[in-house]
Amino acid sequence: MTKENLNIKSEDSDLISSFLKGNQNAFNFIVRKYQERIYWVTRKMVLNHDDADDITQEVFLKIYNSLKEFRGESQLFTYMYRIAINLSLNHLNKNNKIISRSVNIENTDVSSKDISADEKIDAFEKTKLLEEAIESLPAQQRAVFNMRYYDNLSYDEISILLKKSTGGMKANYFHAIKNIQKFLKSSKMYEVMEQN
Amino acid sequence: MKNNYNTSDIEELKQSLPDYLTNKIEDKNLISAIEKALEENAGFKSEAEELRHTFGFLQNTELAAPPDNYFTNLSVKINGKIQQSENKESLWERLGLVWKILIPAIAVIIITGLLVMNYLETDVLKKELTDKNIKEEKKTEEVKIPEEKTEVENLENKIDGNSDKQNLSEEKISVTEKNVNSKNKFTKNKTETLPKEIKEFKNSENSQEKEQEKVKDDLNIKLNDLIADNFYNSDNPFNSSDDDTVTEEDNSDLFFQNEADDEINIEEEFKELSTEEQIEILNNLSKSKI
Repeated sequence: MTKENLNIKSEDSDLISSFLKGNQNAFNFIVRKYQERIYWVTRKMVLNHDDADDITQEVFLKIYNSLKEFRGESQLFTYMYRIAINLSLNHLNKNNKIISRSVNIENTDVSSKDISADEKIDAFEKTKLLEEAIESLPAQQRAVFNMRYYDNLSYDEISILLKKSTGGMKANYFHAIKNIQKFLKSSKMYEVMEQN
Repeated sequence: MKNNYNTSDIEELKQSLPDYLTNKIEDKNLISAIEKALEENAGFKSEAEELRHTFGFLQNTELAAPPDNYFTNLSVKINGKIQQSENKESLWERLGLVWKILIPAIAVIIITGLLVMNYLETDVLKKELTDKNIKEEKKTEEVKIPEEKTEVENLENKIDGNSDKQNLSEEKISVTEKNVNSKNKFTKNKTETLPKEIKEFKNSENSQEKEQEKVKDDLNIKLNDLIADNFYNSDNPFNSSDDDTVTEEDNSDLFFQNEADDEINIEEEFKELSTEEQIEILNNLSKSKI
């Protein structure tokens, strides 16, 4: 494939080989192809937009520096996903903090929907509650929950990524859901939402 | 996967409920086992209902989206970060492969050199200490040897007045042999165990002693000769053979007895003197002879 024919829909192998031949633009296509998915992987892990932004940039920087060693044994996204999860877990373990949420009215996407002001506040409260519920999970449970619930990964894939047993992953997922349930039950906001 | 599930497996089925409620189970046996448990077990059913509510909330709630145009600018930010990291490339990374090998190698050599120097310094100190110890040992040996020598002198004193010169010399010889034997024995034992340096030192010491003995022997011989010469040249009444009728042959016994006694006394006196004094006397005697 020539330089001119490359775009974000091009095959990963073509983009990689073109980049390795010195075509810097091929890497830009890789970034544009996967940036949103990688951002959300990190965002669901760290919950904070700024942290997710930093980690996403870090992921692509790592990819840029390690594409020479990429053998193509796995898919490029799987390779990126693994890096994103590891960096997010490192971030969580390093900071070990209650992540300050940068959720604000301006940043929420709910405004894009054609909803009333009351509904807008309701959506904001629900988002806040969801973030708090996920935030209450331990790092590993959070990773398993995100990978299974949002990214639809099998327990085998999760166990390989986290280097844990498959059975353990299933139990982790169940406990994560139960913990979210417990958190929601303890929230008055959730109670009100349920009544409405 | 199990083919038949019963209520005893309820805990295991509970763990599969989240996947059942989100339609992520492909195993039909597991699905039928869960459905059977839902019909038969009220507790399991209520558990499933609660989880259904939770999943309902999760499905209807989304995380806050990033700011507008975030993804449009993300690739630009990433490129900027890549550029920044390349500019920030450390001095180490800029170094060539040769320098990357040379610098640690030099560091290793310097450290090794310092360690070796440190080791050698301690080794030299140890050697100096051992040399000091050896010298001290030698000093103590030197102190011991004269003590043995005094045995000869004691014997000489003991047999002082004994006219039998031959017996004295025989005893002297036996005692000196004894000393020499003990000394040899001592030195032999020592030389077997002591290091090379001490052996060399011992050999030089032995040669010095031998030389001293030789000088003493020479001095004794010279002294005897001079005494003999002076005796004949002096005003000894027995020497005036021209005037007296008594011949040498007649008084030979008496003459030799007196001569022997005098010789022993002089010899003893002479021995008591220091080597320098002995040499001085010998010089004087030889001058007087001239």
